[in-house]
Amino acid sequence: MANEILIPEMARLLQAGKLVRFTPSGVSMRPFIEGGKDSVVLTSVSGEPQRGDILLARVQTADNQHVYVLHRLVRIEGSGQRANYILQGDGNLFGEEMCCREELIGKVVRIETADGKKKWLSNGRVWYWLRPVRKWLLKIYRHTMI
Amino acid sequence: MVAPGTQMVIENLQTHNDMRTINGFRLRKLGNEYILVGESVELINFNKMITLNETAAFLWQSAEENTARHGSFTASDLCDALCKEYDVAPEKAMTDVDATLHAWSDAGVIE
Repeated sequence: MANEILIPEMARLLQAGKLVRFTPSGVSMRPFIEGGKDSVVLTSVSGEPQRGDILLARVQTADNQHVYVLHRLVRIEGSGQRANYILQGDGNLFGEEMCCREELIGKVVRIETADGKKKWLSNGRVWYWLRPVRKWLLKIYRHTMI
Repeated sequence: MVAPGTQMVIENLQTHNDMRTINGFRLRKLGNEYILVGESVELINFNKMITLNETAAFLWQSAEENTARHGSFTASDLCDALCKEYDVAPEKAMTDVDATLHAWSDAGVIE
């Protein structure tokens, strides 16, 4: 089933106070989330999200399309109603996404491997500082961990 | 009218086993498909989401209705309902019902 159909249903359940588990796809959250293998458990975004949180959000791409991403909050620009939330995939070397508060759907509270074990939920701040050397760290990760 | 051979097929599939839909699953239509969401639990696992096509959704409603009214349902109840609603041969209907019930049983949405 397509994301455009499933994610609004997840959003509905999150708003009703449920937790939601699913397996995201893609490599954009390496090394913390291995797409297609690891699962994440989401809760609704209550209160103000913190830098370093991994969020499911509906974002606008450069060519004005709306897509859903599960990326880390790296920055908040502005405040209150007009705040913009800037997200970036841990496995991405460049490129950020922006969305507003209403477009934040859920927050990762747990990352699990395929056999249900908990993975370390890093707050990603160190990883953010390591951006200049991410390219090499991701290369090492690909060669040693997968 | 029962087509020749149907009786035998039905017997093979143990249609007399009583089954029940498990409480708390809600049928939701998403786009052209349906899903069963276990809304009574705290954590909803989309990795094990059960998707249903229109026929399976019809069968679920029928199974739920039977469970609510009579406390249980059988494969032949669903087969009868399917044949009433759709233009389908009983053998084909029974095969579909049986496959659907196996999937549901594996998924833990019926008992």
